[in-house]
Amino acid sequence: MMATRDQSTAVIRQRVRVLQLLNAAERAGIAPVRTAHLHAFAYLADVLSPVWDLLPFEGKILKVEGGPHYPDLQREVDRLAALGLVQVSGIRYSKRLAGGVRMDASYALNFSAKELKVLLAAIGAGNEKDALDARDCRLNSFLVDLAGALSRVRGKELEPAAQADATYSDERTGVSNIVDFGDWAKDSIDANLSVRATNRFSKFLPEGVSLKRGEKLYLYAEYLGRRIHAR
Amino acid sequence: MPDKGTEAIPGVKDDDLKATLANLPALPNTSADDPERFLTEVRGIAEQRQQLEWQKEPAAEIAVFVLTEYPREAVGHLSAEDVIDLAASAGPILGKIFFMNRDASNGFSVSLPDENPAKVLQWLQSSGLGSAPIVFVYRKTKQLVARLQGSKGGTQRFPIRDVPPALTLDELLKALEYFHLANVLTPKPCPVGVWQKGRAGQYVPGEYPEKAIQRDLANALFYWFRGLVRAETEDSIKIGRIDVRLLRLSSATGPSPLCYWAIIELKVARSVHNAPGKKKPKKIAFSETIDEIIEGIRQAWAFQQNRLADLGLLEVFDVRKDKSTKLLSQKQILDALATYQPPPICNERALFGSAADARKAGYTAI
Repeated sequence: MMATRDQSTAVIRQRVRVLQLLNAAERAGIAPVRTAHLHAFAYLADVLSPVWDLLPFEGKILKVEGGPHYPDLQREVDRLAALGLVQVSGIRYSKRLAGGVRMDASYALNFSAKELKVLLAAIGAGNEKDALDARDCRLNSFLVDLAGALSRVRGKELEPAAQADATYSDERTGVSNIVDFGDWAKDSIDANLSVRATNRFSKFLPEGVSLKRGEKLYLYAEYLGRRIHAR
Repeated sequence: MPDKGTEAIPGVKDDDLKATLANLPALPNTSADDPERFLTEVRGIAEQRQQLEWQKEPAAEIAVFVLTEYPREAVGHLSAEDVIDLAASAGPILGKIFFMNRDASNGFSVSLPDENPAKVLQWLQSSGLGSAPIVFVYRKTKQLVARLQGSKGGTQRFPIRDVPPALTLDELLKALEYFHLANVLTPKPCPVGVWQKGRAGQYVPGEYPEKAIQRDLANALFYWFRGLVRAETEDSIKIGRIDVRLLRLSSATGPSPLCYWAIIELKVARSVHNAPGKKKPKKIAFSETIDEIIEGIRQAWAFQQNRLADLGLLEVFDVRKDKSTKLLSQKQILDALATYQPPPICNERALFGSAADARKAGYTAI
């Protein structure tokens, strides 16, 4: 059955998303990225995108044991690996609680792919003049900033960081329920506890001091590191 | 209606947020350009090693840091080691070349191909990294040499300090003096905008020279007091206030883990207004210049009082061609200072439109 135009667009958007996430991880020096970390990064990028006045790629996620996981993202990572734009290494298999196995691997950009740099430039990871949509440059800058902030979480513990995230860990949403912070929530600011936490830092600043958005991301990453190690 | 942005948040402890905020001075300078940000972090790493007397370091004398867009691509098929959290890990750096992210925190390292810096630069050029910002760390001479425009660009030299800076007035004055001599004394290192383009020799100031100085001064103080203070700038040029504010960790228990350490008000003393192209610049009366400085004294004092800062300073950058009349020794200035308790600490910094003029004035190290 032929894909509809909407389905094709969704696939392309997801593939662009994968390349942008991996590009940011490379820029921050934290690539290759393990499967769980890539999904954790994608989730934190979504939930923290309002810090840069950006809309999340996905404004909701199913809460599962073991941290954030995006099946569509994983499918397109694997397809991009088959297309030669993404490198895969360190493949291993782990048993799933529900039966079967889950594949775990490390992902990075394949710099020897001839088309890679042109593609990255077109999706905003290069100069603005080379981007198909200049707004993607801002998105890429955000992702690079966030990757840099998360690289300071000790031992690159992105997966526990995502689980410790204020929105994901909110006890009012149980496992197998939807964590919604933008898609359905009447008030997306109210629903997004993570962005509220970045704003709440200002309550403890001296008068007249404000935080830059990069500082909010770095401080929030430090906060997640504190939560992880307090457990 | 309560501001939703700052209401208490379920599952998020305020104590944790407040404790995290105490790390603000230790964060990278997110306002700086990537090369400057990188240089600041590398300096922090080098000074940390110097202050630990290079424990656990091999016999090599230099380390090289390269800011690369893609650290993993830069090392290619070389036998490279992962570098994770370099500052915190305190692993050895000498004898290695690091290909790092802009925070100099993560990336990859390989053994130095040669300890001769010229050969290292050639190697980087042949590897396609000739335009990348590079910082050399020299243990013996306790120097950092930065080539932020790449291997063929100009160099900047910085000392690697044996002792971390203290948060004292003396140290702040040292930092401000260093900034004056290294960053603004002559047109070459001066930030763009201090002088009207092509007219520094005629002593025609830029449109907003205070603003141009402010950014570089904030970065310089961030660099000098790396990890100890957070530099913040006030952007109120419309109401005539330009300053740099330094925050430090508070020693007292209170609503914030941070407090104001110093407020540094900036004024530029001009003899002519800005004039683009070949337009004749309009003169500024000396009395007007003095009034500006008096206003700067008032602003520095008022802000220090208002924010309960430890220190209030006024830095006057003199871009007049004729500097024979000293500004801060004028009676009106001295009278104004006498009305404030404590009076702001004022400094007059001469800026010259050419290196030759600076040398004639006695700045012989140029």
